[in-house]
Amino acid sequence: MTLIQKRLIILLVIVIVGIVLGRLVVRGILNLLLGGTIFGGNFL
Amino acid sequence: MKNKEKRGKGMFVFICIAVFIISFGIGVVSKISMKPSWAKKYSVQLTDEIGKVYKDISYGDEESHKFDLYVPADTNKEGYGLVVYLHAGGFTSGDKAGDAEILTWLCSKGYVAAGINYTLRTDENDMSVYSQSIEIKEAMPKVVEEAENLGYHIEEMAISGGSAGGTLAMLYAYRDAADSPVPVKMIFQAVGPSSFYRNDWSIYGLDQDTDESKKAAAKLFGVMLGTEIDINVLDTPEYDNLIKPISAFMWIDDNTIPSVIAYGAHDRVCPFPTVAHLVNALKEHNVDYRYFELPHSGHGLQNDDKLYEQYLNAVEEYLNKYMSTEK
Repeated sequence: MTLIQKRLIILLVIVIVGIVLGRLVVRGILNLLLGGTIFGGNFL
Repeated sequence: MKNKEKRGKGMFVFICIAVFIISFGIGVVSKISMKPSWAKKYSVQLTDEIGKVYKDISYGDEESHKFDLYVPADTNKEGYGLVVYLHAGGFTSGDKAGDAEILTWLCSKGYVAAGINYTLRTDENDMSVYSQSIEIKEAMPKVVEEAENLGYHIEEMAISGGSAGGTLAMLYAYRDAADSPVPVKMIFQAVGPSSFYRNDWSIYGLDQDTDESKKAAAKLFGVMLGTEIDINVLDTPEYDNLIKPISAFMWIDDNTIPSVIAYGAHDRVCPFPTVAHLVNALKEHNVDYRYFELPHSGHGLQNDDKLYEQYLNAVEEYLNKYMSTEK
């Protein structure tokens, strides 16, 4: 695997983690205000 | 060469940070703004083909005594069903304007739809849940009359709401329906408190066996009732009679209208233990009801989209069954 390929995979993982964390943070804040679980029900 | 490599790595780390920040932002925005595909059918634009809205029609002397009336484009029917939706806001905030989407959707289905404001509780007034429920009761004949003036003869109605609006809707449906200007056929509401026993209100710390807790309960429920409550009455059978005027579940009987209700099991605003009284009363009196319990959600019913969709489908089903527009 070339350096470029490795870096692209790293960036892809970062994108996925970023999006997931962003959605979880919103869910977490809403849960703090309204109540609710961090997992279960809706996917993220 | 080494410097070049260092610079290359440094640039890559910078890119990773930037990509993470952008992706995080995309995640935040997507969670806030993206609705599930099934929800799109409830977002209807109010065009001339759908109907028209008349805003801020007065039903009383106060500035807050206003309602919006959404009337369907089809004016050829002999009679129409009215659906009233009461806004949320903890009895202290909110406005009918916030419910434009659901009112427009109801209008698109062929109903005359109305959002009614009520006087909100502030530090400067002594409004209560009870007085607000009376305002809604007094508004209803004016709503029906205005619809008639616009050429829409109202034959029947449904009442609905969310949170505080849900409580007020239940009080109209279960306590006041006999006085309604037109028959009330069904109710749908979500996350409205229907009972005020301090043992159920543990999320507010009102269930403790301390004077402080009892005083807080007496104060809160007294404000809601519009009457001072003696803390010595709180845990006695006498309390039931005292709190009945705002306890919607106590008014349920064998003649109670069909009901569609939804609650979140982790609600931090409307205590979930209060729901049991409502559901048990509906069951005991063999009311035609559908209850949706959203097990991962709180006051916004925000984490169980599939169940929320089922709740809305049930609302449509009951509207079609008990107040069909196909007549």
